[in-house]
Amino acid sequence: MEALVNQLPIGLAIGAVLLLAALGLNFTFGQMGVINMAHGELIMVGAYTAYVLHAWVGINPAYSLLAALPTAFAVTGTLGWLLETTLIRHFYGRPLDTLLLTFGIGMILQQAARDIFGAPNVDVPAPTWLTGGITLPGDIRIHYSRLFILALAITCVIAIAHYLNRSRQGRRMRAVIHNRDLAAVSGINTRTVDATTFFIGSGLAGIAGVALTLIGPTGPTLGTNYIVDAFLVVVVGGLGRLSGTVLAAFALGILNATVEAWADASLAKLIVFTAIVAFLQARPQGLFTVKTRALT
Amino acid sequence: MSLLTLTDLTVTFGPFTALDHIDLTIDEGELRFLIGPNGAGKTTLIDTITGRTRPTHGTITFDGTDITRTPEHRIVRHGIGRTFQTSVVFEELTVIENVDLAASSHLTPWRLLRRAPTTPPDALAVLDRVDLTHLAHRPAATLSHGQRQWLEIAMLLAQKPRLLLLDEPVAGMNAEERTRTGELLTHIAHDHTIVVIEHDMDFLRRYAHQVTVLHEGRILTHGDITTVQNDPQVREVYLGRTTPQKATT
Amino acid sequence: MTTTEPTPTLLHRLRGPATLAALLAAALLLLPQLLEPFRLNLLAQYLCYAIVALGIALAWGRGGMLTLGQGVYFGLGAYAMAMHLTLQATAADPLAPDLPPFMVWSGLTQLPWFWRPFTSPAVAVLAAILIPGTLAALLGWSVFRRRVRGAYFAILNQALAAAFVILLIGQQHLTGGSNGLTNFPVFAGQSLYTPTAQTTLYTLTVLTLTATYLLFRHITHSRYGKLLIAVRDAEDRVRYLGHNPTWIKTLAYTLAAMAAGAAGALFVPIMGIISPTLIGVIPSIMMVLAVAIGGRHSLAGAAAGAIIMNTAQTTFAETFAGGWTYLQGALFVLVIALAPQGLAGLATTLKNRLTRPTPTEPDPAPAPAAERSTP
Repeated sequence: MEALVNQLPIGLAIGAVLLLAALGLNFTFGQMGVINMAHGELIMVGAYTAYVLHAWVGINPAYSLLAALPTAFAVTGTLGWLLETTLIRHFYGRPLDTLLLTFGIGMILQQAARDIFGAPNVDVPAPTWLTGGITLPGDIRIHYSRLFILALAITCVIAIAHYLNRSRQGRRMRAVIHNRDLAAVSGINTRTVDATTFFIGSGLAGIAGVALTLIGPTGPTLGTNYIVDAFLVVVVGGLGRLSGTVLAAFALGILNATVEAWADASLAKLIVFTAIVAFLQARPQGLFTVKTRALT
Repeated sequence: MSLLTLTDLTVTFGPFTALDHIDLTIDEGELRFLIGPNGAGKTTLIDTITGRTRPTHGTITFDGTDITRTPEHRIVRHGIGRTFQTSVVFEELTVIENVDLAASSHLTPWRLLRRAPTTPPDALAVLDRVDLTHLAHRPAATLSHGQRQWLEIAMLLAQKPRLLLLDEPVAGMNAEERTRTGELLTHIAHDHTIVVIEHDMDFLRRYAHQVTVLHEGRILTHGDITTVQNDPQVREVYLGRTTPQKATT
Repeated sequence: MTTTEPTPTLLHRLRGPATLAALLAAALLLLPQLLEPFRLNLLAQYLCYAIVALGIALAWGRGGMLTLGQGVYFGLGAYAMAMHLTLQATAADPLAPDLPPFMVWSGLTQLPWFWRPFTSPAVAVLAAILIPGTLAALLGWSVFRRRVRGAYFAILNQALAAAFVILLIGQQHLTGGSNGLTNFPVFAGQSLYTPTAQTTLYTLTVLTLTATYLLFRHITHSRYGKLLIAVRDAEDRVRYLGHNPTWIKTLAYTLAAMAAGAAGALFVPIMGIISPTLIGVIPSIMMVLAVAIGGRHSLAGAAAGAIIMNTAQTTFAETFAGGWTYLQGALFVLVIALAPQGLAGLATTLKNRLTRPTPTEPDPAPAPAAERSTP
């Protein structure tokens, strides 16, 4: 029990990263059923956006992080929007095909990053106001950058919840998710809503990418390392529910941290995988489910 | 002798009660029609009997066996077969392959792995009964709407069920197809117990004998078609609100 | 009772077996004569991937299960064989220590318990097929039983591949880590480096590929094969025919894993190395890409796809690596967008156009009402 309490802050920190990576998927996979394997590459593009602002544009490191967040959101959001309007929209209802299709797009983006920035990793220095950290009881040290990511993740969740529940666009989005045909005959332009959903989901990948530059180097394969875990979060959380994604991200983060505390780190992944398969025995649709009568 | 007995059957979806303490008995050899306005719980009732939806409360007994928690495919093997409102057939397979798969659920995995016969006699006999023999080797995808419904009935018959549950078998059919289906139904009823959900009043008048009326998850009344039609309660909730000539979904 | 059952002529029926026999004769008699040993070795590697592709075509093409983690099963088979070959190499070298060198460097003093059975070649071969089969059966049964399917299942497979590779790399003292296992000079007392040994391995691979193809072809023609298609297209409907989709899916998934395991076992002595980079998330997706290009619904197409894509990989990857990655990515997009049936689908369309100018599909229009009689 004590070990669990000690691992809690680390688990929350890992969970926050998972949450940021999975939040965008909550839109594209959870709400639209598109398995966007290029999401990892959009995260990578977000990270390189931060790098470009710092190294090429030469913005002062103290502010470049804050400038990078909205810029990355706009850059990856636009990329995602382009993908949706040119390609993905022709594949709704064929989730496995979109998976392979977007994987191909991911390969192209990855190679483009290699050609532009080179294969070796690059570093984006964290702003000075994020150096250092706090020490918790039990001698657990948490970096300010981890706390920043946690705060960023929580901010994003609140913003998304507000958007979905309060704004006119967000309510349209929810209407389309619940009943596409009814929404369409009620005068909602479902095409616009789909494109907007994809824009926001992809934009969130950009924000996740910026956050990742704080805790590690940036390279062309950055996204690949996170995409599988991010999808697992959505699988455990259940489709289309923000609360499920949040809960699952932190649950998996804490589980990862706890397992790694007493088992070898390389075994931890396999143990977590087994735990997820076991969890799916009890809740095959994830934490939160939407009941349907459709025959598949 | 009662073949199917529902006792105190209740199904809720969150705050919504779809079936509200239903008690119902179907006797061996019966042809029972189930009617009721939209949302009355007709399809939920069939879903619950066949294991697609699990009841929150109550029991389902079939031929003396409690099947309330039995997996769907075992319920089918017990002898309950059903069709769906929107027919689902396997489009990539031929008509006879569709029927043959329905007829082979009792085979062991080992026998299923043997080379499939191109013209299994059992399947052909069933196809003959619904008069689709001439289409046996066509892909099911090429069938018309009416033919698909008949293929579904053929698949059902191939399972050799003791109880057939038909969910709106004539929905979307033209007049001629309806007549054919009605005759087919009468024909099958000679040696099967059948429960039919139907909306079409004209069809009911021609082929229904015993009718059970469902309303808001409860059984409103039960009796022969004339009694039910003249029941003021039924008129109010159901017949009164629809044109008697043509009531579809 | 008259049916419109197509009655194939004798010539028509013999065409398939004749083509197969001709291909087999060419592969076994002609190619070893024509190709230099280096090329023959490469071809043998591609054929191993073709065996994996057959499994993917069965599980994904027929059964709709997107097997995004076949690298795991391929890897399990490969490591089983590699462990045996490593132990053989250690035993054969009188100057070497009693342990494989990487274990000595990691400070191990005795052989780990799970390595011991692999001194026997029979155990290694059996394990290469049965361990992947058992793992797939357990995973498949537990998730299919709870109706976890589609994208969820694909993601689980991918997560398994990711976890497996991390485990292999992390347990360096037991698995050789990211270097993998390599240096296999002997098998069953015979040197693996001679041209004869390489030709034998090639022949063995051709025969395994043929046997797997014939087995899977038989399966697709059985009632079970039809059930698999039925489960792919409408799983819940199959339950209402009285069949249990759980075992139907688990069996196909398990067979695919066993084929991948056998391919891995063959791959190791041919390639001379197995390492985590050959079996991770990306290689696993590449195995699926090959099947998508070849044609997921056709066994022969899938196998051909694996051979073609791997040939292209060696040809292009060396000369212009970056360009090849772009091309691969574009291939993914193009095949899924324009030719979901892959090369096999294109070939069928082309053949139908050439041989029969009139449409070959049965008339899709329903039979006119006048033809029917009432029952």
